[in-house]
Amino acid sequence: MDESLGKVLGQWAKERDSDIGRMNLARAASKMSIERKAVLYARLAEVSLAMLFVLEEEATRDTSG
Amino acid sequence: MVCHGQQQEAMIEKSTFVTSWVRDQKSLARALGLSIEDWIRQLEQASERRTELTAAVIGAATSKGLGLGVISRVNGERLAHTARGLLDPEPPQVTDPVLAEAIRRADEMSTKQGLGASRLKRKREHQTPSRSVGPERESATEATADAPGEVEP
Repeated sequence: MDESLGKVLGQWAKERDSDIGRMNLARAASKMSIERKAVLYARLAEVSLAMLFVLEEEATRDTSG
Repeated sequence: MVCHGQQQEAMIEKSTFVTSWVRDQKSLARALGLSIEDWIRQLEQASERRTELTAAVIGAATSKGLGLGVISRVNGERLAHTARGLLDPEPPQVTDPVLAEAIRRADEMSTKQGLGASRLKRKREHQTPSRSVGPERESATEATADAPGEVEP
């Protein structure tokens, strides 16, 4: 992953719960080539699944005490 | 393993954090200009990239203070299945992807799942915009390129 893509993802990670964060991400994506956009989507999807996994783990931990 | 997975799935449905995950995922897809189906496909493809997914899990787990022992429990296939179930609990019964997305969005606007299709079918009377009536301005009778006007130049 190149540095600029990492920067876009890093910026999004800081404010991923906000509309502004998503808007900035969308703006950055709109300037990317199809290939780079595909890489960005792939990383976002992986992070999203990872977050879901962590939520599952936390839910399991909370329930089991 | 399967039992553990089913147990986790049942628990996660109850989690309020999941609600925000679903909301964020839908907002993310919309912001990127992707349909929910396209985004779910991205998640499914991500679930097959074990190395990258594991790296992402390490990052997420570390930030939440979970030990790296959780990595052994990462099951991409099950995660993708859970994600689809959460993001698209009642897939629209249409083959046209555009219509399916329209129904999903209409569902989101409705209070109950499944009302999207009926919302789209419903005919609604549209109000015709009306010209506002008020006191005439000074220039109302002046000549323009489109109208001769009433005032002599």
